[in-house]
Amino acid sequence: MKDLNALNTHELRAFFDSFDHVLCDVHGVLWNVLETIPGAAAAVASLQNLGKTFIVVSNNTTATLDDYHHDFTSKGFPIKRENIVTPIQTTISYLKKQNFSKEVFVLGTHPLKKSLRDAGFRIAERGPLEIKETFHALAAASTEDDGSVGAVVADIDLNVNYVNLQKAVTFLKRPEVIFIRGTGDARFGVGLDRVVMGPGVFHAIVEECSGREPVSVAKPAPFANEFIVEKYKIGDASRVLFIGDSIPSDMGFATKFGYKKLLVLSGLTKEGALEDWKFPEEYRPDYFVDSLKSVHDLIGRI
Amino acid sequence: MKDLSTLTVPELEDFFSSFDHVLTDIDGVVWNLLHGIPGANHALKSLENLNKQIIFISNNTTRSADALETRLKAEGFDLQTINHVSPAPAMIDYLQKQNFTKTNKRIFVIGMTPLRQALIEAGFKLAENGPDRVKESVAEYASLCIAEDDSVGAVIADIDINLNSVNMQKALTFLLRKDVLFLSGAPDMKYPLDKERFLIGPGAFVTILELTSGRKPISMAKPNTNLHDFVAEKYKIGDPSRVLFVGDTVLEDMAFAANCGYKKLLVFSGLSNRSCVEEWTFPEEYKPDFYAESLKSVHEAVLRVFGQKDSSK
Repeated sequence: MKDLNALNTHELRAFFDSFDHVLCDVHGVLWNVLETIPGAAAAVASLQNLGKTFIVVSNNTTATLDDYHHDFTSKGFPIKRENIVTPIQTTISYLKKQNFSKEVFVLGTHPLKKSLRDAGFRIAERGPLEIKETFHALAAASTEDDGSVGAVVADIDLNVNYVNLQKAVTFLKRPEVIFIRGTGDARFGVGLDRVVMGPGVFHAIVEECSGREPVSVAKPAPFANEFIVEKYKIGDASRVLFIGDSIPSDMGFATKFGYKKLLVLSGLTKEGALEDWKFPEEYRPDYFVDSLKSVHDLIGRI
Repeated sequence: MKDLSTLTVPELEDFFSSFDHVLTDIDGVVWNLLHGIPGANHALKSLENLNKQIIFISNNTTRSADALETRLKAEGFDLQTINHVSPAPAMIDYLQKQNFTKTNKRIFVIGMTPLRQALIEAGFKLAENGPDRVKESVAEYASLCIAEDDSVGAVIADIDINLNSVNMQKALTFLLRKDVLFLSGAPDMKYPLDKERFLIGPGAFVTILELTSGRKPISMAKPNTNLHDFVAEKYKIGDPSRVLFVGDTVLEDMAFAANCGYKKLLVFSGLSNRSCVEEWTFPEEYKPDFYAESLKSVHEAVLRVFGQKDSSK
């Protein structure tokens, strides 16, 4: 593990020549919950100026691609719209590959549903927000299946409720119904140091009661990698630099798919974790750096 | 395990004199969700005529005491006294024993109107639940979920047909304070609709709260014996072996009865069928003392021993 700031000019040139694509996580790298990380936007610009394709890989499904792109631009990040990857894009890609034409039942946000509609998919009706307080009513609202649903997508759904979880279970009883999981963390990754239930705890109920396992399309699932490799025509994974702040999820993902690894210390992970390494040996990053600001400064040096 | 219908008259006489109280599960024993069970009404009436105290017990809090009485009347159950136990009165009793009203704190309830009303009538104050629908903003959702409320002193996690994630999150927030009491109702992870289909059970949500809070609730539902403590005190049951428990499931009813030391009658009019006694795959201690097709068999047994003069009419 080499500290980028400790490399000499020759080593730095070799480093910057060793990759053509950058895959970059968002939280802890470009910004934290409340503010952008100083120098990060400049680093994006200078990496692009070096001819690198700068691709953001995020598990944020609470914004459409347009809104998310607008978000980056307004914060000063010169990221291209076609270089943003979220589970919304991978979900759409997965369904298209299946030549999917039936209805999709979505445990997810309005932006996810809108994006699916814009991609030409029909969205199945959700169960009501409130029903009569009997199991009769629950069964009536959630156990009918006329066969028109062909896929269930489980993602972040801030309004998830009993009826809709049950509807998902009902549709998944048919083995031909596709089961896709987008963002499905067990804990909410909003940078809070408090326990907040993530969408994953509710997905687990659907999996348990239906007996079905979903195909995961969010980082770090293999399909997310397949999508990236195909879309950006990545021939050699070692020519990709993955930048992230989490050892288990970012460094884990990068290790699995053979990317070069740069760990930044501006988010979830601090220097202490490097000295007192508690993770699988193979997750060790090739390089680490305090933040993207240093990357920008180092580009200035070469 | 003895088939009730194969007992001799002397054996049946012993059977009927071995208990004073009948503690009977409702769904699957007294009736099913969508249709009645023939003979159940005669059975309970004839047992009442034999001076057995009939007590209905159920984990199902979607049904209020009034609703139970209404359906009992409508289906020809003509009992002199209707005794009803569910997690609701047991929770109230528990909180009263904790002097909860003295703390002046509020209860955050994941549960439905019959439970809420019972709590309010018992003098408890309830905290507000989250909205039915929240704006899809992660930041707003997060701040709603983690908002502290020191006025909350207890969380009840029971059956809630309209359960949503906001209320689960709020419950979790309160449970992170160790001084907040944590009570739970029905623990079922699944309710079978038929051979292949299941409804998600309320226990699935209680389990999420346990896993994320790291806390185990005080369960006031079968098969936990907390419910027995309540029943025994309320109905002055000194000797649990003088209780005949009638149920339709092994893991909830027979387990409960075993834990409490009751006599056990397993009927096949609900979730269990004969195959489970033909080849017993459950813990030994859950084996029922007796089994029968349904409560109708009990009525037939009464007639065999006591003749038509016992008639439940």
